[in-house]
Amino acid sequence: MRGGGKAVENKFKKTLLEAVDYGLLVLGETVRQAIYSHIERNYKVKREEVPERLEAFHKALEGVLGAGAKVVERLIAKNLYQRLNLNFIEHEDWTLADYIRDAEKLIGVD
Amino acid sequence: MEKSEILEFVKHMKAKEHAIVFYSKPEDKHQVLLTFVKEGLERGEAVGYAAGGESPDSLREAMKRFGIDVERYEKSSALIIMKEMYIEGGKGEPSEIIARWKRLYDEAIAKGFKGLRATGETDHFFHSNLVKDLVRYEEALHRELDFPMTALCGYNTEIVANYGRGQLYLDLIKAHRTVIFTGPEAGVVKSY
Repeated sequence: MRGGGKAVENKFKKTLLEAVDYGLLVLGETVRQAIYSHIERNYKVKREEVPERLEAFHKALEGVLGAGAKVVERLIAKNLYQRLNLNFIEHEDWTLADYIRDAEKLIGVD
Repeated sequence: MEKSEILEFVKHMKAKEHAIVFYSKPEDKHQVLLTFVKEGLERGEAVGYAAGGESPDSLREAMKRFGIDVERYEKSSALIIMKEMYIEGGKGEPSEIIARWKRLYDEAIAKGFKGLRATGETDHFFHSNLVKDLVRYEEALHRELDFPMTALCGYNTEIVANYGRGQLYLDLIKAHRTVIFTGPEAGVVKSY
């Protein structure tokens, strides 16, 4: 995915959204929908805006799942790395935003 | 989801349902589990509470503050608070635990109660390093119980999510028909 400017960036966002959908689905479809509704209602962030509003997404997830947010974020990150054919290395203190910054760096998205 | 909707859900849980609640704050644990307890007692069911995260006496005080007439219900055997339900002889054998619950159910019915609600916490599995048995026990209960008891298991999210790099959290979600998440801000119920 290295190089290619806007097209690469858009593809990365699409892949990230797919990974977020996947990670939340582990909790069940009703929970996934409830989390998207919660983040839209309380943080004014729509599902499609999650890639640009990762901090708000993180807070919303913690608001609903508490410490479970960490588990779900790790699932999302792992799935994203798989989709991008990157080697996933777990970091105890990383949030989803840290993993995404790392993935962007690895594939050359600015 | 509003907390009131979660409380309505646990009030109206039916026989054979097996749900789990993940709580982030102790007050949420009391609110959800004791709503389940109080509703069962008021409906004429017996309630078995396996104390784990706090002592039976501390639990009795919390129940009194919640408006439950603990002395009356314990005297009539409607309310049974157990200090240790799961671990016996250093083991947490699932079939034996389920047999103990079944025995409590049979006794409750024999005494004229309409059913049995089972709740509490499983901290003893963690303290005894028997978490593998805990997962086997929750899986053995199945998503739906084999006898008409109603079960609501309480888990501290902080402990579970940090155990085994999160795998326990995912295993427990899979082992229950209904999962209730009560986060610091909001909650949600997953039910098939």
